[in-house]
Amino acid sequence: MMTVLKTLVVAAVLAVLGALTFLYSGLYSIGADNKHFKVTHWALETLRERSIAREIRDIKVPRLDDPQQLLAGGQDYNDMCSGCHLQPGKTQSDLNSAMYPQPPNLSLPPAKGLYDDANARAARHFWYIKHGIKASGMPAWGLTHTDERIWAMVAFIQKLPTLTPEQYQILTAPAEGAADEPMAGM
Amino acid sequence: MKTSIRSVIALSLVWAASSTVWAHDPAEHAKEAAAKKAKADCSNMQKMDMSKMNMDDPVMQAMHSKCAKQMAQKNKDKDAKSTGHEAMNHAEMDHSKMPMNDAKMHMPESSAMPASSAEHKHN
Repeated sequence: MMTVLKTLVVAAVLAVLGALTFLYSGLYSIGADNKHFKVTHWALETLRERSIAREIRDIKVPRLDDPQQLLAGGQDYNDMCSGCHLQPGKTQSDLNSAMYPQPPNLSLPPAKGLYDDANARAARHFWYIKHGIKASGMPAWGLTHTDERIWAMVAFIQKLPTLTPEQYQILTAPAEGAADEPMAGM
Repeated sequence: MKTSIRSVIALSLVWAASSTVWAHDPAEHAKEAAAKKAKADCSNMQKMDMSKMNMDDPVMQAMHSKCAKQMAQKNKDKDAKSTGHEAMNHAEMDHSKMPMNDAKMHMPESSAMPASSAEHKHN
């Protein structure tokens, strides 16, 4: 029994030393243009999905059908998100092509499977936007944006796959300023 | 000598090809930035057949809300042009001497007064 325990302890110490040696060696290629091994990719994806599935359990999704939410969320999406996550009529961008993992194209309908429930999908989008994802380039917008503003973006993202490029342009264009109001100052 | 010239030409071609494979016109970035600042292009909405649209759809409602101002302004411009109102300098007019009953004096509900008319008064 003692021999087994000693062997396990020695193996664990060697494993830690081996890992530290690998870390400090600089042998690992950290470039975004160097893809993960399939097993690494699978491990990271599974870690992310299981983490988020637990995190969104208590999220209550509000109503997301207010036209004003679409207008507010649309502008924010255009300003903050479209560079990576694209828009109707656009299938690539510098950021989308160059980032790893590649940001999903949110202007396409979601793949059937995990996120068929609209509520669960909305909760996930809210969580992604608010908390971001470590080491992925996805920012934690919740540090600088209120929940209300983030839900407006979620409302817009829910509709995004149904929009034509013309509808997208109208919804995301900046609002016209007060100077455009007629009879101002009369 | 011939071999070295061929090598230089081949290397030059490879270098030229590699520098153009991923490069794109930097002006594309300016185009994208300009597109983000552009006003809503509501001309497409005006072409739509409203009878076929679901007005309960939040997307339609949002588009109408965004384009309402532009459409209203277009109507104002149409009205102003039809009455000649837009060409007037209201600041220099004495409205007390004008027959306000005259159809030509009628201000369309939607008309906008030019900035120069800030001091004019209606009787």
